[in-house]
Amino acid sequence: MALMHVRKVIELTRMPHAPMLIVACSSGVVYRNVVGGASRYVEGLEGILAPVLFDDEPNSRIRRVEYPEGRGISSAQRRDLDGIFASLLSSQFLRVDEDRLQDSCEGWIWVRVDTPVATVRDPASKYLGPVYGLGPTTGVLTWRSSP
Amino acid sequence: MKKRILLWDIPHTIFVVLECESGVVYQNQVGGVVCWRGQQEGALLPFDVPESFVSALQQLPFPQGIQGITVEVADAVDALLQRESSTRTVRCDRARLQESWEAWIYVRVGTPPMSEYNPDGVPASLAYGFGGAGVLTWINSD
Repeated sequence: MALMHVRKVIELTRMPHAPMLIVACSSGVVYRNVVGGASRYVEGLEGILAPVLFDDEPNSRIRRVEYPEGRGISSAQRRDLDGIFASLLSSQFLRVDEDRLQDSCEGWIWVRVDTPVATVRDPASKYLGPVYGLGPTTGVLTWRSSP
Repeated sequence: MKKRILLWDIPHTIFVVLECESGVVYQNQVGGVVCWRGQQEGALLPFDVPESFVSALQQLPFPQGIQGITVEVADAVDALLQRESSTRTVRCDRARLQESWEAWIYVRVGTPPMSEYNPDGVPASLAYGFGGAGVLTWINSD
């Protein structure tokens, strides 16, 4: 993880068990986690941290997906994860980034994030995610990885 | 316009919004039934605490309908923060009790400078490089 220009770091290795979203952007803050199960990859991304509302059941479904050892996930895991995201109103703005399957691993999944450009909530909108003001962008869904 | 993150549906845990110029404002609905809009620019630091911690916070006797918390409530919040190893460096900011609300308490957080950060080691702290000011927030009781 390059730290040349980083001014601030937040450590996620002791985060709560629910997955959280790091939206990539220039914020001056890098969120760091150790992921990939026994591989213990140190990953970091500059951006914004946002909680995503996953109840216990989808939360454990995300964890129970059969992730391969090491780096990289397959199309099968992508489909499983996208199915979970699509099943909840609160996470329908997420889908796995097909271009970054090989950069993803257990606890660190690259996603495409489709958020409103507006910074205020539109009562008529069906969007129920927590992030406003970025438009379509990318990020990482991360959680506390099990070694 | 700054980007915005709504914390209305946060899980049963606690967060500190560490004050800094990040370009993102974190917003929560706080103050019990008043549903005051708390907002702070910064970075989000999540804590892994048991649900009983959040329940204990929610049961404290916050003044209803008005801004400000009492010294007694601040003492009780500090006692809870001392109970968990991950939150021991967080303390109510006694100079900002009158700006605080239920579910929105201004705090001071011990965060070492970046010069002490070792990316390859096991970090001793959950946050590095911040000024120490922040807001403790959790799900509102309304």
